[in-house]
Amino acid sequence: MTKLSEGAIEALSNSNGSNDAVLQLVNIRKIDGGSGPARYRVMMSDGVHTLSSFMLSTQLNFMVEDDLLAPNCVCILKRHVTNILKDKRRVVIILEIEVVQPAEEVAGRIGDPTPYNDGQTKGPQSAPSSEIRAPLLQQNKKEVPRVFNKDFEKNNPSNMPSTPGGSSKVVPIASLNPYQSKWTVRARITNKSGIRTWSNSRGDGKLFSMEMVDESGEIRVTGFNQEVDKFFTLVEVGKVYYISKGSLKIANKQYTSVKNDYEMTLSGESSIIPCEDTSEVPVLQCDFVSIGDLENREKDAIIDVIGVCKSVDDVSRITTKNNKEVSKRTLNLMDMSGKVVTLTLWAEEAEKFEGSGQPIIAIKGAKLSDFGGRSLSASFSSTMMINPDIPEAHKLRGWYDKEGHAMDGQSLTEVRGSGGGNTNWKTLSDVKTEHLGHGDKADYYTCIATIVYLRKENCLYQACPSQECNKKVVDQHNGMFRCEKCDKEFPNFKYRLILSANIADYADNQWVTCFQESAESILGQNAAYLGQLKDSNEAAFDEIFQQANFNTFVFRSRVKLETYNDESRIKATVMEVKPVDHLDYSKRLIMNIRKLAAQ
Amino acid sequence: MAGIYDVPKPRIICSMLSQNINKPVCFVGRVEKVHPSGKTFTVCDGEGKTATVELNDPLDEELSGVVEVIGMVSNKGVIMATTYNLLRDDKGVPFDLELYTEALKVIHDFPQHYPFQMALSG
Repeated sequence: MTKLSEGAIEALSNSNGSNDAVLQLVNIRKIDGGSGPARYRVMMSDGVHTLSSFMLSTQLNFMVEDDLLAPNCVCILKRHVTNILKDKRRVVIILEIEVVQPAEEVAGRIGDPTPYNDGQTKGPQSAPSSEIRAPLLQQNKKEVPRVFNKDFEKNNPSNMPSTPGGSSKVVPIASLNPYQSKWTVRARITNKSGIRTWSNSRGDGKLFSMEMVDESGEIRVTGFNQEVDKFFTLVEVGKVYYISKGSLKIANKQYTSVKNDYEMTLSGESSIIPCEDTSEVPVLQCDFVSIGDLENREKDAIIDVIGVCKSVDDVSRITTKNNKEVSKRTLNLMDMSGKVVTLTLWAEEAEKFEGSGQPIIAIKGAKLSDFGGRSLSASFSSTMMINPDIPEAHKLRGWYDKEGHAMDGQSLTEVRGSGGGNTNWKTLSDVKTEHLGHGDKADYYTCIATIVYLRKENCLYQACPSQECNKKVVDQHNGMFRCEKCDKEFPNFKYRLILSANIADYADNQWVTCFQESAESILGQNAAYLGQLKDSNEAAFDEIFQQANFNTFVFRSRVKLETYNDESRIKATVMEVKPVDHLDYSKRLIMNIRKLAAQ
Repeated sequence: MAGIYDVPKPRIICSMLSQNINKPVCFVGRVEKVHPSGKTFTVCDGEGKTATVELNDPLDEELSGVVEVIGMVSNKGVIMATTYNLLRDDKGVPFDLELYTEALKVIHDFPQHYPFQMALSG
């Protein structure tokens, strides 16, 4: 049977309890009221006394929700902070706790503990209490004469010393809550937004926000108006500061991936003082999501991803809905799941990005979009790091150099339109069952198919001879041809192709329209020659169509639902016709067979 | 027994030789060493393993590149060739022996979908 740390309750309620006390959980109760995350109040026993003034810090709520913490389980209190309320009562906030014996393995209450009476203590000042009995406690009392967390102190010897101003103690970010005001945190700024302004019926204003991190957690901080003037230029990303006297409120999770139930607002009293000794404060806290898991995440989720930058596209300029021109650049990231996702960078970040040598990219706070499958987009609150010095990055680099580089990563993002190394391979039945083209935008796909029928009739038309026009001309029957678009008459025209073809693969067939170049590829003759043949030698013209039947090609097509006279139907237009690359085709077939067999 | 041309000849690689003793097979591999006598040579399959081919008559041409051999597997696992055919580059595209081997394994792994044993193969 596990031995409880007798006397630990007394020590804890005297604010000088050690960490690593072994306690039995007696009862757990959810505190109602208030918005925001649930809070749990916990009663603990050391076998001698019980104490009910334990609070679980909200980031440990999952332990209750997952039934890890349940009455009778035996746990080690790894880290805690004792807060003194206004009426001198103490609340022990549990920051880290480990279950050593689950509830079902414990017979019941250990020992016969009695409720510890707060009145027995003589207030916080009389810390060396005469009632101390347990030897454990005496030892600890010498070591830790303060209301503080031993582990924290041990790990961070440099952390404890005098905080500037000396008024309040350095506490971990994870222990911050709205019910306490005297604290200082020592944290590194990991991200700082630009200054944003607003103007509405209630007036104008400006704000900036930043994110900071210490070894216990992270928090988002916002400053308004005067605080923008006061702090914005002072704070530099990557540096460590002492921050105190901010006000805490429930975080709005819509815009941030920062893992804290609270966020901080700077006030007139707040102070931010640079800290020189920064070695112990971590650089950035990320909760990386595997790229393979992105498909299970909700659209618009804000997430952290780390991956190898397999390839980078060039910067392109696009015009946004509000007519602003902005640069964008897409990268393909792959991680150990073997999956690839596209990350889009914007504006300055897109222009400055240097992706040579397949660097490791960590992005914190990227937005997950369901555009073309799954893709990621950087936003104003994202932080991107290239080859960060963190264990995940080194692990990933090792994996990529050893095996990952040889993998043909499967992309979650479907490449639309032209360009891009990834092709959206479909069979003709996929095109129908997946309702390609039924969306707002046209869909593009590539298939391998065989010509089963070519419609000879009306496959050639007389087009405007001026370059870049191609509009159909009207025969004036006086030797002149009129182009409505150019508003001109010409003595000649050029033949152009518009060929209707029925193509088939093993599962289905489809009518497609092929214009000039793709029709020439299929027929193996140019339009001018075909036009000449049609007028002079119909048998030879027919022969060309006969020869073109039953040839197999790679077709890249565009499909879109189009409506004429209240009748909707899918219109497929061939963008490109290429000969089949059998080597590539065989490889893809074998890969697909193996994939199907593995399912 | 019917002539070797009239019976199915499963396509195999070196690791399958032992299961095909005294059976007609079709083997595609890269020519490695030709014996000075010209009556035997070694071939390497797409997995890098080597097999020996014996001919009835000495070679009357230089042999190199990828070759398709049809013959019987002897008790010792030697392919007693009835005939062979050099697979030359197809319009500049060399024969991809590794890819061929991958396809061959698919055929053997899923015989229900590739019932070649039933039909006469050529």
